[in-house]
Amino acid sequence: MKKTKILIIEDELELVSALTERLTIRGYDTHGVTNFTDGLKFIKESPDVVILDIGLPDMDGLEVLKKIKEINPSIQVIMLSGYGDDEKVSKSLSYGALDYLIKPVDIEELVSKIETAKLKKGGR
Amino acid sequence: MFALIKKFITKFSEERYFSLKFRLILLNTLFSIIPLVIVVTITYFWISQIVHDEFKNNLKWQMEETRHSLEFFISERISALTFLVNSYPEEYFTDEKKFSQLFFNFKKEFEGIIDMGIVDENGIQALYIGPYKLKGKDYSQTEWFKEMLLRTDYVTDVFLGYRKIPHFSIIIKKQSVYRDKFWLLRVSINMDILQKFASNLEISSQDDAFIINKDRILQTNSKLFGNVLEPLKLNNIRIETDKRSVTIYDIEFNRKQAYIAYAPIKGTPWILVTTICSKPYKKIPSLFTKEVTLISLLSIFVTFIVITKSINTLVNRIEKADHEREIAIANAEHSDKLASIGRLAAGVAHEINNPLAIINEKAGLMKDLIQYGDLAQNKDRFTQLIGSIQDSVARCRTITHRLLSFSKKIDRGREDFNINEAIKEVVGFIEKEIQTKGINMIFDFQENLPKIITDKGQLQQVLLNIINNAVDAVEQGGTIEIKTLLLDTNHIEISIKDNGIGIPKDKLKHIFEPFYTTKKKGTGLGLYISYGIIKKLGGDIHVESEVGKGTIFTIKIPVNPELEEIK
Repeated sequence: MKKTKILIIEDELELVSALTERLTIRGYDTHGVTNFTDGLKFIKESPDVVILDIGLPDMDGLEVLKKIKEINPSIQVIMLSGYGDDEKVSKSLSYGALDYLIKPVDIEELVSKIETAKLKKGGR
Repeated sequence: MFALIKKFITKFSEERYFSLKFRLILLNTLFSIIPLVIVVTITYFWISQIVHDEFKNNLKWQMEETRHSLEFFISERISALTFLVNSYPEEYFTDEKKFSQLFFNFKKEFEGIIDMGIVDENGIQALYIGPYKLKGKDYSQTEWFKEMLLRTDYVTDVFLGYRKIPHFSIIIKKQSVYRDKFWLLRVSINMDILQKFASNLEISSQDDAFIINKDRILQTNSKLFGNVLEPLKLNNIRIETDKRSVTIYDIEFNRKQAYIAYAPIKGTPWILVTTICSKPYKKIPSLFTKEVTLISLLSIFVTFIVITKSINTLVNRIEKADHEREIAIANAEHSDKLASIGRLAAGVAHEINNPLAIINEKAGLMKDLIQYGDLAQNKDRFTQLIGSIQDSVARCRTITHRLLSFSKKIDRGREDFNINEAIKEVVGFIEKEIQTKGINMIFDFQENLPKIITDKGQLQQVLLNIINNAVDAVEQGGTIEIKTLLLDTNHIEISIKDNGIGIPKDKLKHIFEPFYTTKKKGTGLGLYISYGIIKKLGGDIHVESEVGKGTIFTIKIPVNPELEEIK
């Protein structure tokens, strides 16, 4: 069975590395990057799920979300938010994000969201 | 008195309110008593004038009375003597016995007669009845005898005559029916009679009443101007002898103001003169003054009490209102701080959530490694992961400490710190917001600035307020430039410049006023409080702005406020 491809875009390197490793342990094909520029080439490889931080140093998370959806609308995006920015969160949902999680995230919850995303993508 | 007033009005009062009360009471009392003083002064002069006029009228009336009495005295004797001369047979004026009888009868009826004599047409005294030996004396060269050649009766001046005693005479002429011959009946009257008339005037012992003749020779003794028959020693007055009425005018006598009144006596050569030096017209105003002073003092006292009471109440209310306002502002200041903290909280939450997320993931990974891997093989990984967790905890601690130090309500007081670092800290609080808005922060800090001694928390509150405003004012990707500069040995200037929307001129002058805001959700207290804090810290703050170009806030703060206080 083909492994689910996951891309994490998050500016905190420590967080990206730990999360990548944990998702890899759980059987996902995971890549982690700390900015959008690096993330772009992985997006072109059509990951199944993108875990995207709302605040990125080089581009606003919402802009990144729009780009991803432009490139490939089938990619499911789970937003990560550092704080409850309601406006941004609701915007991200309207731009096509699947869901959002507030840091720090519970790995089981994240996994369940990934599974939901996979199902949703598969169902398309 | 002052201590009493102070005690009276300082109830519940601080020094500044006492000073306000004192000034208000003084000013109000002064203005309240001005009309009273004006009325009293006008009344005083008005009553003085009335008393003065009254005195003059009284003097005039007394002079008229005395003049009338004297005129009556003389005219009565002239009439009686004329009657004698014309009614009695000739022998009464030639026969010594009969003449003597006539004299004694006359003397009995008419007061003041000393003697009586008949003078023939040659001026020789033909008959004489009286205490002196004057029979046969020659009067042909006397003034009165010459006068009698032309007149029918005559009253002489006071003179000494042969007897060498001051007296005056009344002379009646009897014209003979046969030839062009005549004889004169002469009676002498003592000068004391005139003195008595003069002293009948009701005047005080300092005043003087006397009689003079038309040549200003005293006809009676005068207390002030010499004795009888001496010339009047008062040259600066003009006396019009042909006037009928009483004349009064004021003169300066012995360097004092005095009144002089005179009245010519009809049918005689005399003028009645009175000088008043005693100022009786001053007595009544002084009586009036006593009563008015008492009433005025009472009114002033009552006015003072009423004003003091009302101002005391008024200022106490102001003080209370001020106190309440101060409390309200202190509360507002606190809420402003809380609002700033609220804004910070969003940024801080993000900053804290990141290390928390790291801790979470690192701990989770460790759990995963225990669950899925070989514990012994991963010992180094564990050490590395624990270190990473500890780093993240330290990061959180820094953030929480920063926030706590800022949110303390109680002023920690003065401490010494580097202003550049303090600014960096403040910017650190809202870094996320700055980053999100893509703001270009420029720090142009002067190196090696002296450490400033001031209330760091309060100064940072001000800086946060202004930097927050700048962040709000700029567009996406705008620029904020923060500069520090050592102005002189004891002053540092901090300027915060943005290239935002700017503030219109008409609004600029209000921005430090409380509850004035141009933002939709602003409290309008931020800059008002900032202004208050900077002033309290001994500094100064001002703003320049141009619409469309941006705003620059400049804060001047003393390095050591104690040096300022010494100045």
